[in-house]
Amino acid sequence: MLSRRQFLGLAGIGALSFASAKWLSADSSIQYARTLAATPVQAAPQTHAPLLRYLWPDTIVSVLEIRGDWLRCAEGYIERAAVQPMLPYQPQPFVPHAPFWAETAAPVAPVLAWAAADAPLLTRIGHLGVMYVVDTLPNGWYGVAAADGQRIGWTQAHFWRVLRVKTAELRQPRLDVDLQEHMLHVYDAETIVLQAPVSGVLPPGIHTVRRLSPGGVMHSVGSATYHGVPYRIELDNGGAVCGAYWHNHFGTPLAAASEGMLHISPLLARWLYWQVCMNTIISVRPKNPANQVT
Amino acid sequence: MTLSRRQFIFSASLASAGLIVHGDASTPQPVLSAASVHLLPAQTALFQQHKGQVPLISAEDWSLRFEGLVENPFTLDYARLKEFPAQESVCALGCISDPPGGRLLGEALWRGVPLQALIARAGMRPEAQFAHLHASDGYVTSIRLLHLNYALLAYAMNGAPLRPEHGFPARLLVPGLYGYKMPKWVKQIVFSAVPLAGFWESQGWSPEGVAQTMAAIRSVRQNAAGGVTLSGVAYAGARTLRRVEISVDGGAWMPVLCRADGVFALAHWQIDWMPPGRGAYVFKVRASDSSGYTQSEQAYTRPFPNGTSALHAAVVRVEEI
Repeated sequence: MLSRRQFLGLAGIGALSFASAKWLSADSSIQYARTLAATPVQAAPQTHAPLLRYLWPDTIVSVLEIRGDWLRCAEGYIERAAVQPMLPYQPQPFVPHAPFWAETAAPVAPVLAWAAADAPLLTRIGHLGVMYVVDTLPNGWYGVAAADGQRIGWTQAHFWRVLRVKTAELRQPRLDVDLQEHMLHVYDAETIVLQAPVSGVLPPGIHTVRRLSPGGVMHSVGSATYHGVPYRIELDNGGAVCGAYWHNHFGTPLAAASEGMLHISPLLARWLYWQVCMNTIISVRPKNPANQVT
Repeated sequence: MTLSRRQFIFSASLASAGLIVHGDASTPQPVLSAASVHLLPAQTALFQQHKGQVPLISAEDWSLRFEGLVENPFTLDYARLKEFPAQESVCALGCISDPPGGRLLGEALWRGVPLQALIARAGMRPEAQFAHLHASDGYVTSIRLLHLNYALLAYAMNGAPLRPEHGFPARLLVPGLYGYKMPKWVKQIVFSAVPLAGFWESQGWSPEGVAQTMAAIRSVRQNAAGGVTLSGVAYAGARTLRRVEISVDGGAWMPVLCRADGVFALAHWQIDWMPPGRGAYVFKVRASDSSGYTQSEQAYTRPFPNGTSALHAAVVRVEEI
């Protein structure tokens, strides 16, 4: 039987980090993350440690070590919640023939009103956001659309990577969500293969997967709107599980989310999307009423 | 994969100014460092504008008349001006018609007599609210008296007497206002209870001339680390500059350290950035001031009639080599 690390390595996510104390990291590999805002770098993994500098938003940092809620990088220490884990980035080759699905390979991909760098900004798609490419220009621009196929703007091609279908590793996938612990457990039949933190709320009960949508979805959280929400797993009760590239508060009650939405790390969503199928069961366990403060 | 240090070449378009900067690792451009803040531009480099011919007035022939709503009208000549206690300060001077990122903005070390000392000499009457300023070339403007608290009757710039094109023998310097409120070759100040529609005011430009809070990207160059160093200026007029921030591609705002040589001087800022890869990236810079105001995308972009506080942007194109 495979160890969890071996399984995850085969699944291509062994070197990836997840947003919780259960981050998995290969012993000798360097992993990457992008800063979500102007990020303070501190001399030690403590809130009141001396401030060394600020990192730009959307800076790629190499994660050398994980220490609880802190990451050690070459620059110093940054808070885990301040970054989004990401895959290594290299500018991508231009694909001349649309349509196709594409994910953001860069830390972020601006979508503009027309195909010029100084065009008005319409939206920004974070790392591993997914959009539908419906048009291409020979000067290296893609016209991207939402899931309905309507083009919403233009984006530079080398920020995007063509979405590839991945092989399912699980034979009998089953998902279990513990809303009390903010945790998702992934099973293959009766064997737990992965657990990862989540944010958001789903109705308690037993649900099944009704539809899978790789991306192009728009999602509003509070006053903010996010396009290209990736790897959406829709459930029979109207709820959904999807990747969220705009925060890293998985596993905590801090992240705002719409009712009926469960957010997971885009890295996890990118893997999970190809493991589940129609009618995959997801059980949602409620918060323990005995623990609720009245 | 390990992210090795790639080599990039950059080109930048400072949108409004139309300045194209090409840089590569072998030809680094000079950078505006903290030390070079003290290297104020030579008088010949500071922008200047005037209506017609530059008046050539000798120190002996110059005089400045204080009259109107004053108890003691008097005429000041150059020799008497130099006898008053002088003051020096670095002060910015900008043109109201400057678009975002424009070059009609500079600063200098000015030396002169605080205008309040001369106003006290004249004994201004309480009903006076405005000063009408007349210059030797026929230029006229008027200023609300409350703006004159830190005004200087300047006769030297960057350690040397004013050059003719900068107003020799004397000009007015009014911190916090645009340059059209600081007449050169000033020859008469008339204190009045009412404003006067001067040369630019009568063409629709603001009667107040209060300088807007602004920030601009002045330079984009490749640095030794293989990234980009952006530098620029920020200014809040008579208000206090609170912070300057910069963003790339519409992302979150990044604070930038600033340094200024005086309360009314330009603030100079500089920041390094490493691109994630090739592409075109848009940088915008904004300033916030002590009134609580922060520049925004919604600011009116046309300078007419009050000046503009619109954001300045620069496009940096990165190619991988």
